[in-house]
Amino acid sequence: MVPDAPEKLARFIQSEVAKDPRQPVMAATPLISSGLVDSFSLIKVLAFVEDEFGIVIPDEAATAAAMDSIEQIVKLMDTYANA
Amino acid sequence: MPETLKEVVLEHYRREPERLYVRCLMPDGAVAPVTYADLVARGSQFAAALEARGARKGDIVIVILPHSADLFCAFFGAVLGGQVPSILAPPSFKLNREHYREELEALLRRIDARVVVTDQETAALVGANVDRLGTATVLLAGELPPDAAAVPEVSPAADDLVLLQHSSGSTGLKKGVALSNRAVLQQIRNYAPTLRLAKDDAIVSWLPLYHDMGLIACTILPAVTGVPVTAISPLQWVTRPSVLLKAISDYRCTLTWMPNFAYEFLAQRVRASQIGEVRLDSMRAWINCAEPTIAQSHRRFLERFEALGVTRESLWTCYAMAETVFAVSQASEAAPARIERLEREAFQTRGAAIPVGEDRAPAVEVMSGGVLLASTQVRIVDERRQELEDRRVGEIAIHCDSLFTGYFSDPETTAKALSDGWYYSGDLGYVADGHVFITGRKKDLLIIAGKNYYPQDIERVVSAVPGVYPGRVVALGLDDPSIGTQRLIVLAEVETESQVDDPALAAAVRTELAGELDCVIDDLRLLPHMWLLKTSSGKIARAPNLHRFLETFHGSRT
Repeated sequence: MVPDAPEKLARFIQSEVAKDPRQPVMAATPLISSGLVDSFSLIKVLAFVEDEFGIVIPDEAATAAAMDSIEQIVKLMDTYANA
Repeated sequence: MPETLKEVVLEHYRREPERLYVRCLMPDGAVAPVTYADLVARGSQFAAALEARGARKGDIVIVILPHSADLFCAFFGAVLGGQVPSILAPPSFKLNREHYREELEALLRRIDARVVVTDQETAALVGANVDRLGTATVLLAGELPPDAAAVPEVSPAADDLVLLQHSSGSTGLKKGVALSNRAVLQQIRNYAPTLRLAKDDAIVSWLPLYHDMGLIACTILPAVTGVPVTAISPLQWVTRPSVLLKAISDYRCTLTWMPNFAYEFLAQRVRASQIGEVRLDSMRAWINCAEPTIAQSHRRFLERFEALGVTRESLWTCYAMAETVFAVSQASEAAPARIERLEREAFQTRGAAIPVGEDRAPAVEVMSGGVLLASTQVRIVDERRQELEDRRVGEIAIHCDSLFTGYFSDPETTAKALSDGWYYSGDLGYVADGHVFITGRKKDLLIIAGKNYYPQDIERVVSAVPGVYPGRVVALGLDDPSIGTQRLIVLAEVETESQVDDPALAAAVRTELAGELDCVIDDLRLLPHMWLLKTSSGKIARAPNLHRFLETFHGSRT
């Protein structure tokens, strides 16, 4: 797994992306299905993943349903880390 | 001259079967081209399967499919079969399944739909092995018999309905705009010359087909005029908007339609590394439509993409609605959108649109939706539907030869909106020098990133969350020029003092709204009881509460 990825993602999503920064963002916290993050903000998460970890998640995999929690995003990152 | 959409499509098919109708770009990079021969062959297979499931001429067929060649083929399959198709949005993964199924079944019963064409994934979402939904039989697009089918013999008439365009909103408020062959073809005949469409044009679109702009401008207009369309998945566009720019560059596209927020989204979110050497100079029209147009968004878009070939002359606007099939007015290179600076006080307090010079502040900037299409008239009217003079803001009423037949099986709502051949749009605006300016809405409607929501739906869902004071909720749209659209504000009173600003209750409200309406709140405030202002008749008034919200939390007034 990419080191520190869950923690860094959590900090970024909570402070830069979430509609309510008071809500704690844990590994399994639903992001899109909870209404905390809107789908137009996923592009910010993808850009963060690219800049911070150098990982590009391909379009067909980068769907809202597959990016609904930090756990899921980290799983996608692992899949495409060495692609 | 062909009188029906079916005849038009068959005419293309007979003359130029190998002509490209649509090129579907898939998120994995695959390209699915559909020629008129493909459209008629696959469409006829759909038509045969629809008939086998009991669909007859004039029956309603609902199509719920993701972005794919089959979405286009299923729609035209129903058209070939003489049925009346209506495309609905595929359910978002976050929607509450039971709720989605209940809503869908209620709608299917209300409009007496005969068949639902969908895919395995959606069918599984509403219940595995489902073969009936409400009044309708389910047809899975992936399970069509592989045999070739003949074009159905049925001949629809010009005044027969050709499609239903469903508005946003919950089942209770979702209206089916019923459009005849005559209205649809008349609209395209009025609209195409305004766009100066030629056969070497190429349309590109990321718009969903359940939206009238995606369906009429980017699905039916191409099929009637023979101008090919390159179609991008709306879901892919949201996470990678650069895919639109790449498609323009790869296929030398010339026209597209987008809501205002998309100009900001593209300007702000596309990364230089994603577009490399794209060239956008083939584009002669970026048409801004479907939500209020903002001149500043055009300026930012131009600033960002001018170096890649976007020109000022290619930034057009349009005023459109499903009830007139699509466009009422259009700005173009020949008649560019007017931008006016209006005296703020006179505009806000008296509804008078008085232009002021550059130096005179404070002013309100508005951009026109262009000039009227052929055979189209507008009247600006007051509350009693009396006509107002030029430069006075009032409700926009429209008379044209492409008006809808009515709201499907809803004569009461139809009678309120249609009177003596005039459609009362619920939009507010004024006319000056032949240009139509849209300045607001009389009806309660929020348009957020091009998607329409009724505040009543949002208020009902939030009101039902335990802890929220029932009936004391208000949903508001706040214009945010920095993102080119509205932000959704929800103000909800809570039952006990300890729940004011409670993060757990806030999370419950957000989850419920995402699950029921696929809707995200930008700013949610949980407030003490009696915070919201009511009118003397006991109704929650939106405008005063918006003022109070801005004053309390942002230290300003609108």
